[in-house]
Amino acid sequence: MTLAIFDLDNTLLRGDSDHAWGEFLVGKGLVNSKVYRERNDYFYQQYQLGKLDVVAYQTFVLAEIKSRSPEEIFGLRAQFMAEVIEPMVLSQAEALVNHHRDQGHTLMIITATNDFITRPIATRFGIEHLIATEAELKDGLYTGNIVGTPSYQGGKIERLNDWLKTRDHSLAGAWFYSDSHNDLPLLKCVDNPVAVDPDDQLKQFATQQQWPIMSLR
Amino acid sequence: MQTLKFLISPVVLLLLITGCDNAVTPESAPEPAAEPMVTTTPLPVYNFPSETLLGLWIETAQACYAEAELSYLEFDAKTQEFLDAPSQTRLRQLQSAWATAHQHYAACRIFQQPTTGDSEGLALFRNQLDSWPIMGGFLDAVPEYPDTGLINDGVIALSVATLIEQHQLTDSTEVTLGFHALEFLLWGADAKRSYTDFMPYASEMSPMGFDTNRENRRRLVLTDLVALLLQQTEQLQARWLPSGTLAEMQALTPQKQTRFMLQSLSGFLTQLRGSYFNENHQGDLFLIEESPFSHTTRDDLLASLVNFNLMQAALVSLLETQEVGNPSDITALQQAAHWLLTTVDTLPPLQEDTAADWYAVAADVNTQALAAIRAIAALNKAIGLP
Repeated sequence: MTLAIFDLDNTLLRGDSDHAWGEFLVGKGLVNSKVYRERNDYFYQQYQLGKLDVVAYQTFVLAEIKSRSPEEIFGLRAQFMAEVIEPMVLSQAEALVNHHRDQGHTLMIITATNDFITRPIATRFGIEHLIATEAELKDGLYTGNIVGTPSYQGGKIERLNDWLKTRDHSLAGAWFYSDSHNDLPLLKCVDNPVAVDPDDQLKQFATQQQWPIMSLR
Repeated sequence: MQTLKFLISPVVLLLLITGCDNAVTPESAPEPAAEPMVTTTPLPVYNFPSETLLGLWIETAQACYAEAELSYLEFDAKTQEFLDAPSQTRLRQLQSAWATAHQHYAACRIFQQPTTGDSEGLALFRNQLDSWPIMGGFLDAVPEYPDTGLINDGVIALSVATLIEQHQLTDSTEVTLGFHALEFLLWGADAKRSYTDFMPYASEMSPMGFDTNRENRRRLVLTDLVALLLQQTEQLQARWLPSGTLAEMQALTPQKQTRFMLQSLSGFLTQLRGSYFNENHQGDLFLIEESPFSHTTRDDLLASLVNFNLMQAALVSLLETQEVGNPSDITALQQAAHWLLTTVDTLPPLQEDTAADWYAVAADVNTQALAAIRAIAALNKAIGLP
C-alpha cells in the first residue's frame, strides 16, 4: 500500500508545535518566562539553521513534562491542543491528508518533535501512524529522557526503515511532504518528494531537482 | 483492659457513625477479653473533609457533562446539516462530530458509576447508550450481505420503539441503539460509507403503509437514534444536578462519600478490565474493539483514563492528608493509574495492522487494573466501612 508521509511542524501546521509548547508553558506562567523563552528560542534558531542538538533540546522540553504528574501534563496537553494547536491546523493540509486517505494510502506523520506533544495532533488529523522522537516512560512516568533514535534529519530514515521492517511495508510509490531542509535525507529517498511552503534551502534544492513545490497556507 | 477498650471503641464508634445495620452495640458486644479476633492495630476514627473532595468530584462531573452536552448538540446539528444536503464532506464532518461526542461520553465514564442503589437502572442506560461489540449486519448491510439488517428488512416498520424492541433481541451484539449503532451507520462495515447511502428518495410504500426505501429508512434510523441519544445523555447528566441523585450523595456520611468515590474508581477499572481484554477458556487474552468502524478505540479509552487519573489523584491527596490507609496501597493505586494512562497514550490507534501493539500490553493492562482494584479495596477497608 502506498505511504503518504507528512512532516508536521510548518508543513501540516502553521508553526512549530514543539516551540509553541514552550510558549504555551511561558504563557501559563508555569516556567521562568525569561530563561525558558531564551532557551526555547535558541533551540528553534538552531533547528532553522540545521544545527539543532536534538537530544539536548528534547531533554530541555521533557524536563517540564517530567516534573509534573501525568494528571497535570495530560490536562495541560488538552488545553494546548484546544488553545494553540487547533488554530495552527491548516485547512488545506486537512484537505491534502484527506486526498491521500481517499486514495487508500497509508498515512503517517514523521516528526522530530516528541511523541507526547505530537500524538494528539496525529489523532486530530486522523493519521494513524506516527514516528516521533520518543519520550521515555518508566512505571507510568516520564523520565525526562528520550529513548531510541530521535526522528530528526537522517534519524527519520532510520526510524522509518525500522517501521517498514516491522510492518512489511515498502517505500515504493511513497510521498513525503516537508517544509524543511532538515528533511532532505528522507525527501531524497521517496518517489514523490514535495516541498511545502519550503525554507530557502529546501526551495532552492527542490527547484534544482524539479520537485513539486506547493503551499498549504 | 484499658488498652483493649482503646482498641474496641473506635470500631464501635465507626459502626455507629456509618449507621450500619449490623453494628454491634456496646450492650450486645462480647467482652473484649473473650474476643480473640480483635485486631491488634487500632482503627482510628477519621474526620474526613470529604465534602471538599465531593465538591470537586461534583464540579468535575458537571463540567464533564456540560462539555459533553455541547458535543452532543454539535453532533445533532451536523446530523441535520448532513441530512438536509448529503455530501461526502458533510459526512466526514458528521463522523468527526460523532468521534468528538463519543470521546466526551467516554471522558464522563468515571462519573457514570452507581451512587445509591441505582445500579440496575444505570446499567440498563449504559447498555442502551454505549453497547459494544456490535454485529453491524443486524442493523444494516455489510459487504457480504448487502440486503441484511433492520434497515433493509422491508417487513419491519422502523421507529424509536422498534429500535428499542430490537436492541439486543437475542444476543448482546445485536445492537440497534446508542453510539456504536450510529458509528456503524456513519462508517459502514468497511469504513467506506458513501453519502449517497443517505440521499432522500421518493417513498416506496409497503402494503403495510410504511416506507421501504433503504436510503430513507437509513435516514430515519439516523434521525431517531440521534434524538434518543440526546434524551438519554440528558438523563445521565441530570443525575448530577441538585434534583438528581446528587442530593443523596451529599447527604452521605463522610466515610460513605469517600467510599462512593473509591467505588467509582473501582467500578470504572472493573468495567475497563472486562470490556477491552477478555480471557477465553484457554487463558488467552483477546481484544474487543470498542469503536472498530471509526478506529477511535484508543482515543475513547484515553479520554476515560484522563478523568479517572484526575479523580484518583484528588482522592489519593485526601487520603494522604488524612493519613488514611497503607501508603503502599496508595502508591500502588497511583502507579497503576499512571501506567494505564501513559501506556494507552503511547498505543497507536487500534486497527488491524496495529493490533499486535495492543496485544503486547494486554496482559499488563489487566494486571495493572487489577492491582489498582486491589489497592482500592484495601483503602476502602481502611476508611472503616464494611
